[in-house]
Amino acid sequence: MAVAAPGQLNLDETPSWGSRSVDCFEKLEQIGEGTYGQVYMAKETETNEIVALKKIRMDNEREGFPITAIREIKILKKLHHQNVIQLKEIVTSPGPERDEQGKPIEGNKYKGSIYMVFEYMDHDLTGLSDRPGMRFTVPQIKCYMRQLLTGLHYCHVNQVLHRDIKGSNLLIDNEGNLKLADFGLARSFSSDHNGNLTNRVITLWYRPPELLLGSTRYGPAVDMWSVGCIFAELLNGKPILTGKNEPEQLSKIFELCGTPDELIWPGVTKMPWYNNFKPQRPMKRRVKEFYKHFDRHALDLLEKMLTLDPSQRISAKDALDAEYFWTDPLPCDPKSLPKYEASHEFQTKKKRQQQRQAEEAAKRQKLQHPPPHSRLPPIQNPGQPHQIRPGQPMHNAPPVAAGPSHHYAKPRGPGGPNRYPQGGNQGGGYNPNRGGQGGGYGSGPYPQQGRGPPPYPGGAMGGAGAPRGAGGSGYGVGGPNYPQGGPYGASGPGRGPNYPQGGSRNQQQYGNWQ
Amino acid sequence: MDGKSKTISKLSCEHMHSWYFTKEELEKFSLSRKDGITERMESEIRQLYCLFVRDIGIRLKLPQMTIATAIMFCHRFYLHQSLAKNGWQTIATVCIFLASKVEDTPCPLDHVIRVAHGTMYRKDPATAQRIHQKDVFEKQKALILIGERLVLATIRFDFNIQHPYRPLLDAMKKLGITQKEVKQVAWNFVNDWLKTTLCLQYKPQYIAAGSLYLAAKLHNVKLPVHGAHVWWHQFDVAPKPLEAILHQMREMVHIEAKLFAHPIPVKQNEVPSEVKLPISNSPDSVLNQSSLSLNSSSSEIGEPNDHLQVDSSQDMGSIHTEDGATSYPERSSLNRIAGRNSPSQTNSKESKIKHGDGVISCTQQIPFNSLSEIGSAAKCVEQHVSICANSSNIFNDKISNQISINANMRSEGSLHTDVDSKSTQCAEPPTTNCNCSNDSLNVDSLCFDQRLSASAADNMEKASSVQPVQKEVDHLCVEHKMVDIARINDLLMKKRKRQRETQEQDIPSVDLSEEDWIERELESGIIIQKEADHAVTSDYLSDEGWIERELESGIVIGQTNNKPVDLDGLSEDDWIERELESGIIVEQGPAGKKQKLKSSFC
Repeated sequence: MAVAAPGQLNLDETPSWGSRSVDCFEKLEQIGEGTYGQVYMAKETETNEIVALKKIRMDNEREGFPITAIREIKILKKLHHQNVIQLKEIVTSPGPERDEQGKPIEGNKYKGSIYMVFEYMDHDLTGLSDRPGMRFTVPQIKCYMRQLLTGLHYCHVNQVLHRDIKGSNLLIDNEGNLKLADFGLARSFSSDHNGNLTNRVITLWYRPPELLLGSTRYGPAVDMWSVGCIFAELLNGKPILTGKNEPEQLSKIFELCGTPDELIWPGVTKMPWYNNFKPQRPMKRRVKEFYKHFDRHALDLLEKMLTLDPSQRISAKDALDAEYFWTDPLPCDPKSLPKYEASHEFQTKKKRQQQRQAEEAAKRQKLQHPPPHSRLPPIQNPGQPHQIRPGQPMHNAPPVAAGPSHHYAKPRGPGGPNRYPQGGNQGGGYNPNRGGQGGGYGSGPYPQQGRGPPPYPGGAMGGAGAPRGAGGSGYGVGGPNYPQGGPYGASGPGRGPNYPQGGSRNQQQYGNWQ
Repeated sequence: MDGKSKTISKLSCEHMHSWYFTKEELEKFSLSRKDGITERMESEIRQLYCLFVRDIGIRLKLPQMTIATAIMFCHRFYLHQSLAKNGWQTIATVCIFLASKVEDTPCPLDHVIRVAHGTMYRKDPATAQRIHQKDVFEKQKALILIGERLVLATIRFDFNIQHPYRPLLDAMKKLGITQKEVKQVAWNFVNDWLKTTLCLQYKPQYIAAGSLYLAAKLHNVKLPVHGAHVWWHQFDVAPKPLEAILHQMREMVHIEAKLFAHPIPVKQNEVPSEVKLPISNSPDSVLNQSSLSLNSSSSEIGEPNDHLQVDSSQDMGSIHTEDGATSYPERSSLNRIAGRNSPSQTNSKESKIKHGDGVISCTQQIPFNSLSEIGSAAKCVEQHVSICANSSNIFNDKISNQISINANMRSEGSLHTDVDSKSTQCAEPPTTNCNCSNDSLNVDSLCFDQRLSASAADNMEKASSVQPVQKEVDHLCVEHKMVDIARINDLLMKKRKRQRETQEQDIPSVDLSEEDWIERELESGIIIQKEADHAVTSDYLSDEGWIERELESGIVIGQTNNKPVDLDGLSEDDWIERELESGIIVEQGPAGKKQKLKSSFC
């Protein structure tokens, strides 16, 4: 046979080698959806292993396979750690994509979908902590925090910045393991340590002051700020810095942490946007004052994490050595943590529809009677011995009976999962700012987002600004692979309003693509 | 059937997570072979797509790292796909597009397509223009996007390609190897292996270790084998595979050296007296001299140059070019510049270099099928023949005669017979020579020297071929270049007039000939496929190409002379970074030298 002519490609033969087909998996149910991707729970047919399939949307890609997906895959393939989500493989759908009616969408076999296969995780931290009546114990918080820091330290040692640490990106399984997920914004900083990085990363509420002040040279400290925010949130029972936009976010930070000056943060006045955001009046740091009910060691650690000057902010490694983790009550063993019922709300589009209706109804109802804040601060009483032993089931949180009754096998109860509407109520009720955070809070680990009406009023209100991110499903569906609006895409809420509106992904892609 | 598929799947399972295969496995698994593509054709096409990727990469201003990644993608793709079923031009385009994203140096798809198309049809402006038609363009775009999916699936989305560059640099730093020539040669070796199957057999650290070893051997630099810094401890390598790769590397270099062995006596006889002068206190001045000057030139060449370093194919020709240059008394102190600016001597060889590009240049294929390569070997040798002739004629005037003879031979296309006869004569003694001293280091170094100067000369070659791109894209040095172009053109003209009579080509041919050259490269592959040994047919182009190249290399000199100014301010780390980014080794040290060269050049 002669050498192939230019332009000839072997598209007909099923290759004996290469990525596997998605047919190796049986899709069980959709557990998340964003404008730019869907996540399915699936079973590998050969091994019966349960996995999560995250679809990489390609159809909007004018530039072929998205560079963001390439980055994510590159980074995930490099990282192997018990506290980092494991990317098992990439599979492709061999046949042409089928639309909802099952008709093949035009195109040949190399136009099918591409999926990232992850280990399956039951919850995300935000979803878990938003469960009605959920209270974490102190050992539980310590346990999660320690895992978070361990995973993050691993990333940082491997020169990866996560750049989107937030509750909905911290996945938790029923073994109590916490794993960092959604590396869609992550970046290796090995070769460009002095390069220009985009400051339009990290969900607004968790974004550190240096990014808000326009820094393009930053490092692992950005993630540590986010960790601090999560830490405080776990202790506080609700997010602590909930700006609607960047200026507001910064002013909230200043209110809590004081206004920076050259003394406490050398160089701050030379930050690109310092003059735009220069505080009107100096404010004192009031972290200790705000959170005086936290235990001493927790407060110490929090202070170090919420340090304005990134160069003085505590590193993940040092944080792991903090007194907090080495004093009573000690962090519990993940395995001793209660198992929670995972409630992935949608299995089918039809069910989703039902849900949506139910939720609308609930919304209307709740609007008239906003419930009190339904996320409760942790069970803790610094002065007293903690009352709940690790492993003891939480109040109100119906623990799944331990043992073989694995929840994915369980049929969803009629009338749809209960969690979604509840979540919606919650979110809508207590904090308008949280609107638009979408599933991240209200709807649990695999929030529905982007499509249809926002699940609760807050969503409508804060749709543009609320940073929590409907994009919050831990597998990162929300992160669009491509331009379109803010970094979280048209589903929007992810990142809050960026100044030069929209296109920040786009920038990342080909312009300021650092 | 079942059994067979089982074994296959078992094999692929075993290699599920590995991209490294033994030589035998590579042969056994090759789907191209099943489709009737011979090993030799395969390695020829391998060269072609490497060159093609490189050329597109240069035009797209992509760093060497991206080009290297693209080449690795191509290699890995064809590990599991057949050359008979997938057009290499398309796959190469896809791979460069994909690599540009993978290495975070993205190029818009539209741009890649236009550049790739333009590169492919350089010789055929009518076809090249067609890409501007919307339907043609869209069709091409769809093809590339589909091809990307095919490549992605075939390479299993494995984007983390490690190259030997970083381990090499790290180890050299740790070992305190400061000799620029060693660094450069090691680096060039790495570039060369990129085009071979070695990078499908061994992990990058092995290639780095082997390259450093060979480079050190070449320069008689002793690598520490005792104490705290045993050299191979600097790499994550095991002794056995390291021995194996060294064996293979030597084999490749050795066979090449054998083919070119005959100039060695020439050098030994003639060159020393002249060349030794400038660095008289160096014990191995001959070897080092030529390589040194070459190397310094290469490292002076600015960033774009490194793109070109991938090209090992041009080594052979360049070696001799350089040898010829060094053998001229008048140039003994200025080898490099003189070499570049002496079209008369180099010209004849250059044409064969081109020849080599398409056909022979694949140094690594030689070991695999050295017997079947006799034809091309003969051609290689032919270069030497002319070199011998050149170098024996020490005075310029006589050389021009020689050249014209060569030129005539070429134009008649009857080169082969002459060459063959000559080559057999010439090649004989050195071959034996090599064999005798096979095991001794000195011999190695002799043989390697060929290689060394080859890689060094390689840089020049690259520099020259890259130049047009630079002209288009280089935003830093535009002004300098303009000046330099004018000046160098001027100088070249003078030289030519003095030294050459037959040559009619001139500066204006720059663009054309560059295109021709690439076109030729591309075409030569096709020709090979059809009539394996008749690559001569495309030779007539090379004259133009050579002039072009010459001119360009002149320009590069000018440009690089300016370079040190930009570079000197950088810290060591910056340097390393830049080296890695750009794929070239540069040092701060040479600044003074460059200045010197510049002044003497002016």
